[in-house]
Amino acid sequence: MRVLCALLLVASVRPAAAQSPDAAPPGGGPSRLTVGGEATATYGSEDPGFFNYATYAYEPMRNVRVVIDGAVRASRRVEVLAQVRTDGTTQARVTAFYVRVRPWVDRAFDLQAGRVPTTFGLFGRSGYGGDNPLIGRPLAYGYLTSLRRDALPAVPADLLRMRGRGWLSNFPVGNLAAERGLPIVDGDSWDTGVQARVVRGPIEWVGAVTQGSLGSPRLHDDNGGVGLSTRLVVRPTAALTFGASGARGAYLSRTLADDHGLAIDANGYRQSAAGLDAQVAAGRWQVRAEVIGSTWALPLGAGAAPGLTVRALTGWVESRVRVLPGLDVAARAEHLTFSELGTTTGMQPWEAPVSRMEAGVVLAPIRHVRLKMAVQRNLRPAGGRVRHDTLVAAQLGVWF
Amino acid sequence: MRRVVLAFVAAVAVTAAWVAPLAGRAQPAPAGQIRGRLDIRRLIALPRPRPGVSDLGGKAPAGVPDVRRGLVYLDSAPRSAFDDREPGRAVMDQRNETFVPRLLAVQTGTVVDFPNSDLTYHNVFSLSRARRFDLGRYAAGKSKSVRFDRPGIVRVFCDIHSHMSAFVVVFNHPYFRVTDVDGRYRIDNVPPGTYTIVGWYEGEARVQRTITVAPGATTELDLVVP
Repeated sequence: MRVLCALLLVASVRPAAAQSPDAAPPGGGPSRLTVGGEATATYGSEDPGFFNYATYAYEPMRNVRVVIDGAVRASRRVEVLAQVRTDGTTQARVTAFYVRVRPWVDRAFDLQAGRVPTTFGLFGRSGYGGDNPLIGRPLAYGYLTSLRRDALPAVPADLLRMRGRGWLSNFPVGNLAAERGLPIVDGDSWDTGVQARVVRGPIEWVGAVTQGSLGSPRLHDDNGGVGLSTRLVVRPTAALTFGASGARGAYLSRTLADDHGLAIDANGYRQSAAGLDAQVAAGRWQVRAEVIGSTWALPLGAGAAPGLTVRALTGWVESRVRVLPGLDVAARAEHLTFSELGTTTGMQPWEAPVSRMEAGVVLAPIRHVRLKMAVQRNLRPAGGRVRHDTLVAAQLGVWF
Repeated sequence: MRRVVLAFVAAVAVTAAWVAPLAGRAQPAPAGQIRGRLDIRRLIALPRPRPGVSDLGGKAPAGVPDVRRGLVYLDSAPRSAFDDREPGRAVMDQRNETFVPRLLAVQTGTVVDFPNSDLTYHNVFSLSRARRFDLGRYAAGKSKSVRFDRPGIVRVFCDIHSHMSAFVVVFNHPYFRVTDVDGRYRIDNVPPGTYTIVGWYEGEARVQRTITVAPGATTELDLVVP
């Protein structure tokens, strides 16, 4: 029903309202409706190693995605924003729906409530395809670890057995069915809660309280806990931006206790993450980089044994250069590594480290059309059915 | 004495031979003027900033582009229009996330400056056939320039702010004028003759008429864009 309402809202809006110089300046008049959107069709190699999967709803390398954004400005202080998205043949999903309030019109202080954009990090809010010069997303924002919110390893060896199997992970405690694992940051979904942003000169601060956690954003609470996230951005010059992010939230589901009878307080086990990022942009060059560390506290077995804390650390650097009008070349290099567990054969990482290199070109023959072509090389020598793979993909995007 | 008379007669003959053709040449007819009003009945709706759904907060409102101005020009120009001339210079500012002016008409060879008067980055570019260019990102207070050597319509955009757009219309003659906010125009120094005059608005020639300019006269012509 929500999807239907959102679609009706979006469908009822014209792409651009008439705008004459005599009209009130933007932000001044009530009931201003705006719509934007993008349709992308991607076709590429099969991804048998599931290096790019974030969900079973679609294959990222073979997908048709339609995104419609809408905003209704009720007054100078209040705006309602929504995003509806379809992937492949799946039903339309409302991926964002929130109200933005600016209590003081002349101050850069905003409150947002509802299904709000991800506070954490540099890449979690990429709205339109133009924000990403390549086809794949950084590993931190989608690569699935084997950790589950509704299933647990009985012993550390269960984790080792699932290395490189985040796309279809299963453990002997809790939900025994094989399901997808958790990414560090879920770049596909946004969380539900309240967000505040303040901008003062070159400094921007954002904080949010949400239902879920960084890797498991929720529409409805499922563990009695809250997710806290914050981001601080400093722009010393227009060319340079530094950011720092932090997040902490309970990620286990209460179904572990309710459905499987485990004596586990789901609210007691949290994902904590911190990130640092930087962007430099000048002339035809843009370079950005980010480092993210994440820890998960998890119980073992039924929760009686001492738990574990596992860690992940990832970093990526991306460069983009405009070589000609309408022609960009971009490349990204990244690595995702994991902490080690003691086993009978020595110390081993609890998940299989992954390295990725992606390079591509973006061609814009006309302004509203974007054609991307990319080559992605993935290496995962320590786990998974496929240990390395080279993927090639092309993507045609039209935006308005 | 005879020599002096002969010399005088010869001098008079040479002078007469030199002056005679000049006396027979027609003086150029005084140029005329065309003026009137381009009446735009319905202003074009422009794209507004796309909804900032993925933004963590609101943005300062962008400027409102001036869409009241059109362009009036002669479709075919007299030969004298193509005489050599000094290349000119013009400015299209970027202010409050808006190109100012939104419509700029220049002659070929003109260099247009694109200063950035905002606090944020801009990246001016065009994919138009008449002039493809990309100035890259540059900050407040900086300016970059483009020379326009081919006649045609050049659509100008900002790569960072999708709602920013403008026109640079390049002519190879001087008989054009951007209208004022009331739609008035005046084209001076038009040699007498019959021309096709065009009213242009937001990317298209929307109205055209045939007009005869009499020597030294002002010809009034109002054009209506429905």
